[in-house]
Amino acid sequence: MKIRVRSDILHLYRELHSWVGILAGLFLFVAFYAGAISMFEQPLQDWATRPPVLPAPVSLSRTPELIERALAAHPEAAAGYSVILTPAGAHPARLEWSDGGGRHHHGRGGATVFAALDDHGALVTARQPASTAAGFIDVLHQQIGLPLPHDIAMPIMGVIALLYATALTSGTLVFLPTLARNLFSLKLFGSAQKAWLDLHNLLGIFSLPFHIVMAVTSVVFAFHEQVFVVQHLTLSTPPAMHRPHPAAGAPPVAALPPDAILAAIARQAPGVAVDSIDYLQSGRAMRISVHDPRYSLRGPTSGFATVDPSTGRILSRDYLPGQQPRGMSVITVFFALHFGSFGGTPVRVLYLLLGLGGAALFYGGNRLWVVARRRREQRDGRVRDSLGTRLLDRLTPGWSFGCVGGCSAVLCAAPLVADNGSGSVFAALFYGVFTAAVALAFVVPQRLSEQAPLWLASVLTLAVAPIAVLARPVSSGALLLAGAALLLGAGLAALARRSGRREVPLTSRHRPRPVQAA
Amino acid sequence: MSAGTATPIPTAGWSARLLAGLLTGAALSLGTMALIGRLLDCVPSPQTVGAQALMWLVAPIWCAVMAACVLFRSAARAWIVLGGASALVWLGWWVVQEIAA
Repeated sequence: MKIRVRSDILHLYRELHSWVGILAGLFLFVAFYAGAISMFEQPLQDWATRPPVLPAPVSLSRTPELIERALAAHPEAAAGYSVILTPAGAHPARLEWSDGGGRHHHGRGGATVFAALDDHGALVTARQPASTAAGFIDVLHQQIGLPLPHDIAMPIMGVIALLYATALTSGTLVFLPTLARNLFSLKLFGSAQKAWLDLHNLLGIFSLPFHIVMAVTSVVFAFHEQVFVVQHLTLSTPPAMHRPHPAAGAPPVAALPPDAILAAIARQAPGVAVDSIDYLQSGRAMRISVHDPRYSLRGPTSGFATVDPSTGRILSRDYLPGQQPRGMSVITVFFALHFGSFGGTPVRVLYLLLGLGGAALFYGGNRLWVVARRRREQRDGRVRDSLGTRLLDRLTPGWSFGCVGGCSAVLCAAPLVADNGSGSVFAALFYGVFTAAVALAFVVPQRLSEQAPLWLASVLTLAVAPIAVLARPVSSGALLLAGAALLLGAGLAALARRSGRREVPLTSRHRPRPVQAA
Repeated sequence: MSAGTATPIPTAGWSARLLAGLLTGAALSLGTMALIGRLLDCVPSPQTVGAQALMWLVAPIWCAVMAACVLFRSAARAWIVLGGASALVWLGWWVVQEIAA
């Protein structure tokens, strides 16, 4: 295969790729590593949340009795309460409502009140905040690690996503002419530079579709609020849209009990599994959260539908998996491709691996930048690295493995902290470890600047394993988490051992050739 | 741009061209969204397919502008051509809006 690209364009895009990559690479590392973990946000939250002490959930047919007692004792819950179909993990009770006002957003919500009935039919409630550990890692992912207010972090993320898209196109273009020659020539044991370059190219080209999806969807996620503002300013609103909310003035209606709602949903949307039924506005409105592994889901873990509470009739199928109008189902695919919310667990595992592969791609890209720059500087007669080379040489491992170690520290603390981790305990922990790793990379001698943060990340990651199985009753989820932590921790330790050996200096052994990706 | 000419595109100065692409890319992609939304009479409500599809249109256009803008020979050219294209698109939106009103 011969693909010709003009040499001036090739040179231009090579330069562009290397600079845009170095600008965005470290932020993207955080986004991809935290995003990979977030593929299992819900099971992690289930594992991390300390369950309240409550009687066993009542049957679905007795749930109306539970609701009646709960509303009598807590009239404020009428504004919105949820019936959970299979209580477990972070949703341990049949009935729950939020007393923090509104639904939880971005992992920082108020507390949840869980309600149950004891053997004598008396109401028992437990109030506790949900674990914020998994939510913290998700926000870290969304905000590319920036500890800033959401409104400020998101546009910055958007610019990084645009740079990422630019790095993808330029990198692909630079790699294309040598595609056939380099595709299957992975040499992990030669010069450090050749190994990083081969790995970078291989990861890049084989996960290119995934990266294109991530770049484009992230631009949308970053700027969707601004885009809708522009739409409001530039498109005409039909007068019908200004009508008041129909439910606002209507008298309270008798909402159907959960089992009747379920029966009605099963008739209208066979095969859809209902996870929870939200009774909203004193029973005037209703929303169901559902999942269906046969179809793409609009949200990270679920699809939605609004339902008439008095009849159980589905009012909007726009986000109901398998029932959507064709246009909406196409739009949903875009979201699902980012969230990996299609095809169930196998796709989530694949996305976890692709996410980790992405993080490795960016780490390798930064290493290549340093090695190529150092070589050019040596060729120009410099004896010492320039400031930029030195900075990135140390910042890259400190930042990247600080992120890995910080996430592991958060997972270590998740089941141990009081109140399931209220306030900013996880943020303090993550940025503490992160800062320590960066500092470590800068204070140790140069040959240890990669090894030291690697060991730190390895030890913290390995520590997740015993905590996973000891801090909570053993479950398959806890065992899988422990296994993953052992595997990753051992991998980091292996990298650390290898990193101890000095980088192979450039000698005549290696035929000098142009650096392709850096 | 580069078609048919033999003079090479300079590498130096790519950052100013990229900045031009970043900013005009926003104007061009949002303008295209507004124009198409007007032409198809889309409703600015996030709950509608039209508004959602228009939102998804913005990202690929912006990304494409970012990738292509460095191919201009200078930042000035990038500003003139991409800025001109943005102005045209917004002018088109204004004309369609005036006709509809």
